[in-house]
Amino acid sequence: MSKKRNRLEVIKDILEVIRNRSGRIKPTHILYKSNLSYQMMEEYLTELIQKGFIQEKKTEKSKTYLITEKGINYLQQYRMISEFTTSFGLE
Amino acid sequence: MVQLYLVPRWFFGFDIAMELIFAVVAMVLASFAYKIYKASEEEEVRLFSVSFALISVSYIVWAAANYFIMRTLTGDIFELNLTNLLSTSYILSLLHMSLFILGLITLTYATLGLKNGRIYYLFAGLGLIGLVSSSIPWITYQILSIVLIASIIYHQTVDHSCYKNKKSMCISLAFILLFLSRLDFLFAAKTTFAYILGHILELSAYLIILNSLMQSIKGWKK
Repeated sequence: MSKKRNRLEVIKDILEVIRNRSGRIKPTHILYKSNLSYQMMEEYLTELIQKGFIQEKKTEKSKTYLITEKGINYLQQYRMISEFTTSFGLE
Repeated sequence: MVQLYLVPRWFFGFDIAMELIFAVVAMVLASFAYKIYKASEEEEVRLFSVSFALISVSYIVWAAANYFIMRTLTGDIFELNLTNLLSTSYILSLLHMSLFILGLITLTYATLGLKNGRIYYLFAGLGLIGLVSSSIPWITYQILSIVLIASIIYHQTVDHSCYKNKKSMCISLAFILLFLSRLDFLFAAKTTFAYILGHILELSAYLIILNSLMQSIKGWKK
Protein backbone atom coordinates (compact mmCIF):
# COMPACT_ATOMS: atom_id res chain seq x y z
CA MET A 1 0.00 0.00 0.00
CA SER A 2 1.47 3.37 -0.92
CA LYS A 3 1.90 5.82 1.96
CA LYS A 4 -0.02 9.07 2.11
CA ARG A 5 1.76 11.93 0.29
CA ASN A 6 2.98 14.74 2.48
CA ARG A 7 2.56 18.43 1.63
CA LEU A 8 6.00 18.81 0.02
CA GLU A 9 5.38 15.79 -2.21
CA VAL A 10 2.04 17.19 -3.35
CA ILE A 11 3.72 20.50 -4.24
CA LYS A 12 6.40 18.61 -6.17
CA ASP A 13 3.74 16.57 -8.03
CA ILE A 14 1.80 19.70 -9.05
CA LEU A 15 4.95 21.48 -10.24
CA GLU A 16 6.04 18.37 -12.18
CA VAL A 17 2.66 18.16 -13.88
CA ILE A 18 2.99 21.79 -15.00
CA ARG A 19 6.63 21.40 -16.10
CA ASN A 20 5.85 18.23 -18.06
CA ARG A 21 3.17 20.15 -19.99
CA SER A 22 5.76 22.56 -21.39
CA GLY A 23 5.40 24.79 -18.34
CA ARG A 24 1.77 25.82 -18.99
CA ILE A 25 -1.36 23.93 -17.97
CA LYS A 26 -5.12 24.30 -17.40
CA PRO A 27 -6.52 23.68 -13.87
CA THR A 28 -8.55 20.68 -15.06
CA HIS A 29 -5.36 18.93 -16.11
CA ILE A 30 -3.76 19.65 -12.74
CA LEU A 31 -6.84 18.24 -11.03
CA TYR A 32 -6.70 15.11 -13.14
CA LYS A 33 -2.96 14.50 -12.84
CA SER A 34 -2.35 15.54 -9.24
CA ASN A 35 -5.02 13.27 -7.75
CA LEU A 36 -6.45 15.95 -5.43
CA SER A 37 -9.93 17.18 -4.64
CA TYR A 38 -10.92 20.49 -6.28
CA GLN A 39 -10.81 22.34 -2.95
CA MET A 40 -7.38 20.96 -2.04
CA MET A 41 -6.04 21.79 -5.49
CA GLU A 42 -7.28 25.40 -5.15
CA GLU A 43 -5.55 25.70 -1.76
CA TYR A 44 -2.29 24.37 -3.12
CA LEU A 45 -2.43 26.59 -6.22
CA THR A 46 -3.02 29.68 -4.04
CA GLU A 47 -0.03 28.71 -1.88
CA LEU A 48 2.17 28.10 -4.93
CA ILE A 49 1.24 31.50 -6.39
CA GLN A 50 2.02 33.19 -3.04
CA LYS A 51 5.39 31.44 -2.91
CA GLY A 52 6.15 32.51 -6.48
CA PHE A 53 6.45 28.94 -7.79
CA ILE A 54 3.71 29.38 -10.41
CA GLN A 55 1.88 32.23 -12.16
CA GLU A 56 -1.77 32.41 -13.08
CA LYS A 57 -2.69 33.70 -16.55
CA LYS A 58 -6.33 34.58 -17.08
CA THR A 59 -8.01 35.20 -20.41
CA GLU A 60 -11.71 35.71 -21.16
CA LYS A 61 -12.12 32.05 -22.02
CA SER A 62 -9.71 30.19 -19.80
CA LYS A 63 -7.23 30.17 -16.98
CA THR A 64 -3.77 28.62 -17.20
CA TYR A 65 -0.86 28.16 -14.82
CA LEU A 66 2.81 28.63 -15.66
CA ILE A 67 5.78 27.33 -13.73
CA THR A 68 8.33 29.99 -12.76
CA GLU A 69 12.12 29.83 -12.40
CA LYS A 70 11.61 29.49 -8.64
CA GLY A 71 9.26 26.55 -9.17
CA ILE A 72 11.82 24.82 -11.39
CA ASN A 73 14.47 25.44 -8.72
CA TYR A 74 12.17 23.80 -6.14
CA LEU A 75 11.95 20.67 -8.31
CA GLN A 76 15.74 20.59 -8.71
CA GLN A 77 16.29 20.95 -4.96
CA TYR A 78 13.35 18.75 -3.93
CA ARG A 79 15.40 15.76 -2.72
CA MET A 80 17.51 18.01 -0.49
CA ILE A 81 14.44 19.85 0.86
CA SER A 82 12.57 16.63 1.55
CA GLU A 83 15.51 14.90 3.23
CA PHE A 84 16.26 17.92 5.41
CA THR A 85 12.69 18.44 6.58
CA THR A 86 12.24 14.71 7.25
CA SER A 87 15.53 14.43 9.16
CA PHE A 88 14.67 17.31 11.47
CA GLY A 89 10.99 16.43 11.88
CA LEU A 90 9.77 19.59 10.15
CA GLU A 91 6.82 17.96 8.37
CA MET B 1 23.56 33.46 47.02
CA VAL B 2 22.64 32.48 43.44
CA GLN B 3 24.84 29.60 42.41
CA LEU B 4 25.33 28.77 38.74
CA TYR B 5 27.92 25.99 38.33
CA LEU B 6 31.26 24.65 39.54
CA VAL B 7 34.18 24.52 37.11
CA PRO B 8 37.61 22.95 37.71
CA ARG B 9 40.39 25.38 36.79
CA TRP B 10 42.07 22.98 34.33
CA PHE B 11 38.81 22.74 32.33
CA PHE B 12 38.58 26.48 31.72
CA GLY B 13 39.64 27.05 28.15
CA PHE B 14 38.43 23.61 27.04
CA ASP B 15 34.87 24.60 27.88
CA ILE B 16 35.21 27.85 25.94
CA ALA B 17 36.64 25.96 22.94
CA MET B 18 33.73 23.48 23.07
CA GLU B 19 31.16 26.27 23.35
CA LEU B 20 32.67 27.89 20.25
CA ILE B 21 32.43 24.54 18.41
CA PHE B 22 28.73 24.31 19.39
CA ALA B 23 28.27 27.86 18.07
CA VAL B 24 29.94 27.05 14.73
CA VAL B 25 27.92 23.84 14.20
CA ALA B 26 24.67 25.59 15.13
CA MET B 27 25.48 28.45 12.72
CA VAL B 28 26.35 26.01 9.89
CA LEU B 29 22.99 24.30 10.48
CA ALA B 30 21.18 27.67 10.55
CA SER B 31 22.84 28.74 7.27
CA PHE B 32 22.00 25.46 5.58
CA ALA B 33 18.40 25.64 6.80
CA TYR B 34 18.19 29.17 5.38
CA LYS B 35 19.34 27.82 2.00
CA ILE B 36 16.57 25.19 2.19
CA TYR B 37 14.10 27.93 3.12
CA LYS B 38 15.06 30.02 0.08
CA ALA B 39 14.35 27.01 -2.17
CA SER B 40 11.18 25.82 -0.44
CA GLU B 41 9.64 28.99 1.09
CA GLU B 42 8.53 26.79 4.00
CA GLU B 43 7.86 28.86 7.13
CA GLU B 44 8.87 26.02 9.48
CA VAL B 45 12.30 25.86 7.84
CA ARG B 46 12.78 29.63 8.23
CA LEU B 47 11.93 29.36 11.93
CA PHE B 48 14.28 26.39 12.25
CA SER B 49 17.05 28.54 10.77
CA VAL B 50 16.26 31.42 13.14
CA SER B 51 16.22 29.05 16.13
CA PHE B 52 19.69 27.66 15.43
CA ALA B 53 21.04 31.16 14.76
CA LEU B 54 19.77 32.18 18.22
CA ILE B 55 21.28 29.04 19.77
CA SER B 56 24.59 29.77 18.02
CA VAL B 57 24.71 33.35 19.35
CA SER B 58 23.81 32.04 22.82
CA TYR B 59 26.88 29.78 22.81
CA ILE B 60 29.12 32.68 21.72
CA VAL B 61 27.75 34.74 24.63
CA TRP B 62 28.32 31.81 27.01
CA ALA B 63 31.92 31.48 25.82
CA ALA B 64 32.38 35.24 26.34
CA ALA B 65 30.93 35.00 29.88
CA ASN B 66 33.29 32.13 30.73
CA TYR B 67 36.22 34.04 29.23
CA PHE B 68 35.50 37.03 31.50
CA ILE B 69 35.29 34.70 34.49
CA MET B 70 38.54 32.92 33.56
CA ARG B 71 40.39 36.24 33.47
CA THR B 72 38.98 37.33 36.81
CA LEU B 73 39.03 34.41 39.22
CA THR B 74 41.81 32.38 40.83
CA GLY B 75 41.93 29.00 42.62
CA ASP B 76 41.58 25.37 41.56
CA ILE B 77 37.77 25.25 41.47
CA PHE B 78 35.55 28.17 40.58
CA GLU B 79 32.21 28.54 42.28
CA LEU B 80 30.13 30.77 40.07
CA ASN B 81 27.62 32.77 42.08
CA LEU B 82 26.29 36.28 42.31
CA THR B 83 28.69 37.31 45.05
CA ASN B 84 31.88 36.34 43.25
CA LEU B 85 30.87 37.02 39.68
CA LEU B 86 31.48 40.26 37.94
CA SER B 87 28.17 41.79 36.95
CA THR B 88 29.29 41.67 33.29
CA SER B 89 29.75 37.91 33.45
CA TYR B 90 26.45 37.41 35.23
CA ILE B 91 24.58 39.52 32.68
CA LEU B 92 26.30 37.61 29.87
CA SER B 93 25.30 34.29 31.49
CA LEU B 94 21.70 35.47 31.76
CA LEU B 95 21.79 36.65 28.13
CA HIS B 96 23.15 33.25 27.06
CA MET B 97 20.34 31.45 28.91
CA SER B 98 17.67 33.77 27.48
CA LEU B 99 18.90 33.39 23.90
CA PHE B 100 19.14 29.61 24.23
CA ILE B 101 15.62 29.30 25.65
CA LEU B 102 14.27 31.61 22.94
CA GLY B 103 16.05 29.45 20.34
CA LEU B 104 14.55 26.25 21.80
CA ILE B 105 11.06 27.77 21.97
CA THR B 106 11.37 28.81 18.30
CA LEU B 107 12.61 25.31 17.41
CA THR B 108 9.75 23.64 19.30
CA TYR B 109 7.23 25.96 17.61
CA ALA B 110 8.68 25.10 14.19
CA THR B 111 8.91 21.36 14.90
CA LEU B 112 5.35 21.11 16.16
CA GLY B 113 4.17 22.97 13.03
CA LEU B 114 2.15 25.52 15.01
CA LYS B 115 0.75 28.33 12.88
CA ASN B 116 -0.43 30.83 15.48
CA GLY B 117 2.02 33.65 16.20
CA ARG B 118 0.24 34.52 19.45
CA ILE B 119 1.05 31.07 20.85
CA TYR B 120 4.70 31.69 20.01
CA TYR B 121 4.79 35.06 21.77
CA LEU B 122 2.99 33.57 24.76
CA PHE B 123 5.53 30.72 25.08
CA ALA B 124 8.47 33.07 24.51
CA GLY B 125 7.15 35.55 27.09
CA LEU B 126 6.46 32.88 29.70
CA GLY B 127 9.86 31.24 29.17
CA LEU B 128 11.85 34.46 29.39
CA ILE B 129 9.92 35.93 32.33
CA GLY B 130 10.23 32.61 34.19
CA LEU B 131 13.97 32.56 33.57
CA VAL B 132 14.79 36.18 34.38
CA SER B 133 12.62 36.32 37.51
CA SER B 134 13.90 33.02 38.91
CA SER B 135 16.02 33.07 42.07
CA ILE B 136 17.94 30.09 40.66
CA PRO B 137 18.17 30.95 36.92
CA TRP B 138 20.64 28.15 36.08
CA ILE B 139 18.27 25.46 37.37
CA THR B 140 15.21 27.12 35.76
CA TYR B 141 17.16 27.34 32.51
CA GLN B 142 18.02 23.63 32.56
CA ILE B 143 14.46 22.58 33.48
CA LEU B 144 12.98 24.70 30.66
CA SER B 145 15.56 23.23 28.24
CA ILE B 146 14.74 19.68 29.37
CA VAL B 147 10.98 20.17 28.82
CA LEU B 148 11.45 21.79 25.40
CA ILE B 149 14.01 19.24 24.16
CA ALA B 150 11.80 16.39 25.44
CA SER B 151 8.87 17.70 23.37
CA ILE B 152 11.10 17.89 20.28
CA ILE B 153 12.35 14.33 20.85
CA TYR B 154 8.78 13.08 21.28
CA HIS B 155 7.73 14.71 18.00
CA GLN B 156 10.79 13.34 16.18
CA THR B 157 10.19 9.84 17.54
CA VAL B 158 6.59 9.91 16.29
CA ASP B 159 7.86 11.20 12.94
CA HIS B 160 10.58 8.55 12.76
CA SER B 161 8.04 5.79 13.31
CA CYS B 162 6.35 7.10 10.13
CA TYR B 163 9.43 7.59 7.94
CA LYS B 164 11.96 5.01 9.26
CA ASN B 165 14.77 7.28 8.04
CA LYS B 166 18.35 6.63 9.25
CA LYS B 167 19.23 10.32 9.29
CA SER B 168 16.21 11.28 11.35
CA MET B 169 17.24 8.55 13.81
CA CYS B 170 20.72 10.14 14.10
CA ILE B 171 19.18 13.57 14.67
CA SER B 172 16.89 12.11 17.36
CA LEU B 173 19.96 10.54 19.01
CA ALA B 174 21.68 13.97 18.96
CA PHE B 175 18.67 15.55 20.67
CA ILE B 176 18.62 12.73 23.26
CA LEU B 177 22.28 13.54 24.04
CA LEU B 178 21.36 17.24 24.35
CA PHE B 179 18.55 16.21 26.69
CA LEU B 180 20.97 14.16 28.82
CA SER B 181 23.49 17.01 28.91
CA ARG B 182 20.80 19.37 30.23
CA LEU B 183 19.78 16.79 32.82
CA ASP B 184 23.42 16.50 33.85
CA PHE B 185 23.92 20.29 33.99
CA LEU B 186 21.26 20.36 36.74
CA PHE B 187 23.95 18.98 39.07
CA ALA B 188 26.69 21.35 37.89
CA ALA B 189 26.27 23.48 41.02
CA LYS B 190 27.08 20.43 43.17
CA THR B 191 29.97 18.78 41.35
CA THR B 192 32.57 19.85 38.77
CA PHE B 193 32.19 16.47 37.03
CA ALA B 194 28.64 17.38 35.92
CA TYR B 195 29.89 20.51 34.13
CA ILE B 196 32.56 18.51 32.27
CA LEU B 197 30.23 15.62 31.38
CA GLY B 198 27.55 18.08 30.20
CA HIS B 199 30.01 19.62 27.78
CA ILE B 200 31.14 16.22 26.48
CA LEU B 201 27.53 15.08 25.92
CA GLU B 202 26.71 18.32 24.14
CA LEU B 203 29.84 18.04 21.98
CA SER B 204 28.83 14.49 20.98
CA ALA B 205 25.35 15.74 20.02
CA TYR B 206 26.68 18.54 17.82
CA LEU B 207 29.24 16.25 16.16
CA ILE B 208 26.42 13.81 15.26
CA ILE B 209 24.37 16.70 13.80
CA LEU B 210 27.40 17.97 11.86
CA ASN B 211 28.20 14.47 10.57
CA SER B 212 24.59 13.92 9.41
CA LEU B 213 24.60 17.27 7.67
CA MET B 214 27.94 16.60 5.94
CA GLN B 215 26.77 13.14 4.81
CA SER B 216 23.63 14.70 3.36
CA ILE B 217 25.54 17.46 1.55
CA LYS B 218 27.94 14.85 0.08
CA GLY B 219 24.99 12.72 -1.04
CA TRP B 220 23.25 15.64 -2.75
CA LYS B 221 26.40 16.75 -4.57
CA LYS B 222 26.87 13.27 -6.16
